[in-house]
Amino acid sequence: MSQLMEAKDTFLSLFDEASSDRSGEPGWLRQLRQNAMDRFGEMGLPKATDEAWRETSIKPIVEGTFGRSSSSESALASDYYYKGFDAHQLVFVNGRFNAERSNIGDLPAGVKLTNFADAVTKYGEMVQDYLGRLCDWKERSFAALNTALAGDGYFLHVPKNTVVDRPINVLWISEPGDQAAASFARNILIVEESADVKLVETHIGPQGTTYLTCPVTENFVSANANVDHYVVQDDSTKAFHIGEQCLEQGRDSRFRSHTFTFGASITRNGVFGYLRGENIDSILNGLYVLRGKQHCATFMQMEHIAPHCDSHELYKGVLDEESSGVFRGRIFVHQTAQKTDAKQTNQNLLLTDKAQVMSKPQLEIYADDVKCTHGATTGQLDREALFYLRSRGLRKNEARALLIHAFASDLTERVQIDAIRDKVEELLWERLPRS
Amino acid sequence: MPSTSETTINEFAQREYQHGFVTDIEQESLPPGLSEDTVRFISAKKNEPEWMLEWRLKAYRHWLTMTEPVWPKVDYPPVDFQAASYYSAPKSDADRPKSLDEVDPKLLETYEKLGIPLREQEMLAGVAVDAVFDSVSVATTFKDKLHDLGIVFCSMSEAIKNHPELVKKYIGSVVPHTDNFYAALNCAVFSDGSFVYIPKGVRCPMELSTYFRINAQNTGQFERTLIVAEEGSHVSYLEGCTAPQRDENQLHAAVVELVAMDNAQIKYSTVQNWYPGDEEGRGGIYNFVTKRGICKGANSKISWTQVETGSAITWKYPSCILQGDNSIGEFYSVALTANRQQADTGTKMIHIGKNTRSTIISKGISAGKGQNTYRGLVKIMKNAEGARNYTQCDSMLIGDKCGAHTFPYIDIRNSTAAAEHEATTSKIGEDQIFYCNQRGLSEEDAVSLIVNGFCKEVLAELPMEFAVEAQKLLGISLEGSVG
Repeated sequence: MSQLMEAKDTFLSLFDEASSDRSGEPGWLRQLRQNAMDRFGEMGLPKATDEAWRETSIKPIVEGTFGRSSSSESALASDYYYKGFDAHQLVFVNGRFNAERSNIGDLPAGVKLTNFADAVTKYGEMVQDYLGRLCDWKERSFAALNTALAGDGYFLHVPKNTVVDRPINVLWISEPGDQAAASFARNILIVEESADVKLVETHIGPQGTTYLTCPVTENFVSANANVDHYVVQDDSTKAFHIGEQCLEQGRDSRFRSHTFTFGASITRNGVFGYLRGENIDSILNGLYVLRGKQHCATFMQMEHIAPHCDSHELYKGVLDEESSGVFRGRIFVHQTAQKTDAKQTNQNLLLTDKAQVMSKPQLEIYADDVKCTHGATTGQLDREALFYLRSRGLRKNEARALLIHAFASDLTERVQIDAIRDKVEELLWERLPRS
Repeated sequence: MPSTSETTINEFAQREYQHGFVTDIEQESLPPGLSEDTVRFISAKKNEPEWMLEWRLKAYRHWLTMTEPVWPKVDYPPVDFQAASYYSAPKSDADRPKSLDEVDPKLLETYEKLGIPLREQEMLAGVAVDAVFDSVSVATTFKDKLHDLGIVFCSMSEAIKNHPELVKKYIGSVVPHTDNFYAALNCAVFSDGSFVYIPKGVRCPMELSTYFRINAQNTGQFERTLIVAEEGSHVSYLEGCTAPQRDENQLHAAVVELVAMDNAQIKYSTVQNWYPGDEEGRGGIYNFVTKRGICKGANSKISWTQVETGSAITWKYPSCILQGDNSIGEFYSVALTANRQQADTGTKMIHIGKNTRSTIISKGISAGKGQNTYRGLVKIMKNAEGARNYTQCDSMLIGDKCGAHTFPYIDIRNSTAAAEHEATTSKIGEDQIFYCNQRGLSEEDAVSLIVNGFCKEVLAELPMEFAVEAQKLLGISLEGSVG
């Protein structure tokens, strides 16, 4: 317990250290940060007994001391991670915007794309209006921490009826150097009525380095808008990634999200969705491919507030060696949300006896005219399928790789952007048994 | 939605418990309150040996250190454990109704609908029964038959007196006094219950339910049941009764323990129809039960079947610990909540042995303002090679003010294990009702038909005569003011 207190103090001192950064900020933002930090002070870090954190041990995070990294240079920043990816590029190094490396390029008229710090200066009122509206920092420790320490992130505003043709790639590179560092990216995505945008959030870091990254994105999707959203996480396997996606959708809007988790020693992907208008289509998919002692927890809550909304979630996990996975999803159907069509599926493939998975797909339903289903399966590779492939002359590892790939490709194939799909496939093949 | 079906649904939503009635019986009761003295009093009253009292006191002392669980998805005012009376025994037959004529006709109507024989009706309604009455001799015949086979079937108090070595060995072995708040309370103050011991290789020739029903006794609010099935034996036990049960106690905390050795099979069925409270849920029974079975031996099997239609609050997770290799656990449940009833029920399947299998079929029906929650854990331990689980949770909502929730916990630690979980939520379709209507069925019969079809998989697991009664019970429980 005392360790928890010490860790808390570390973060409190981080807040004090960063006070000079905040001096130029408007009063409301400083107040918000202070409130969030006070709240964090009250809550502290999640305890092992907290229902939401029971399966995820944050001990390594508690034991680590994370400072602030001053370096904004990176060797990894030379390319944009994806091959041949024609996109508006934003690069953040150790949580700071790197204007030199970034290449925002030409955007359609009226689209605002910049870094968070810049947005606070330029579009202060808009930021004030949206910041913290979806992310419930009063309830969740890491959300409070992020709100208090919110470093740089992206700010994207797509005005009404605007289509952004080229995808937007936001690349976070954590290269903390000698000392373990923490970064708290805070992102705001506002897509106005009937607008259309594709966005990729990418997190990488050099292997073997330890750092903590806590990104929070608040997605505001207005009526009839269309958003394709990707998260590709290939952090160092010694790093900690505690992220959160908050989502609010208006009527007739479409939000498709794909989250790919390959890296980090402890990953936690929080997803909090509020479907406020009628006839929404919300798709949230995820794939986690883990090995070693990696741990990935998905924590999702979808709230159906308006009638006639569809939400579909498919999460798949491939767990090798001593890795562990947690899926805790909850579909909450309010009494007002009649004709809801919700489906939640979690499928896991355990490759060894030491890998483990905990799956909790939950339904909480207060409306009677709904179609809600959830399913969870956990199993191993089909022995007959393996035998068949081997009888066709494939080596054991080839056959295994082929079958695992088939299981996972269900999700990689859904990626609409070629460059992203190729990269994700590459990351997947790297992790499959080799012949 | 056509207005007719709306009317029916409204009627369901507002249905009243037609079976409630009050009989004042003078009882030898303890004043409200709970202390070590209460525990000593209960133990002394039952002439229990020293070791039993010690065990109770140990449990009581542990209970003092525990706090009430708050995680279930149920909502009720805090229970004042000092306000309840912990011992009451019916005093005399003098104040009971003399014959069925004195019993609430509504209740008799329900019995009639359930098709319960007259004699049994008298027993259930608490009519003072003549000592030379038929059923007693029937019971004696049964008793002799069981005795010949070496089966022990008696109340817990008798068992403590006559078979202390068996009780000592098994009591608390599956649900220890440290298990949870209500189990600890039960260990300290349990009133009575049943004890069943089936010796090696014996197949119990009858459903123990039959016997139990004829001998329905007031077992009190803290029931404790222990069933031990030795190697190769087989037993089917039915607890409770489809008929509405008379009860003055609001708080119920029962404990059931099952022990199955090699190749043994235990089938435990429950039909619970306690008073659910009025439309606002006032005065209903709180039912906090701990039920757990252990498949100790290889190839053993424990099967739980439950039909839960009563109680204001149900908090119940019949579990199986599958320790023996190739052992099987089953859980079949129908839970119905209407008015303001709340149920948080489900199961736990802990796979420890190799090739262990478990099946969970849960059907939840919510009507009125009822809240129905399935909460189940499937845990497959590291050594449970080849373990297999299949879970299916279906919910049905009747009306738009109720809720149906599903909280599965699936914890897999072995790669050869396979676990599946499926859940669906649906409502009674207008087209289904329309179809039934045009075939000449009334709305009410249509709903009853559809609900029974929905629950068929579970009802089929009940002993036959009870399946028939349970089917009728579901219909009656959903009935509106229409008689």
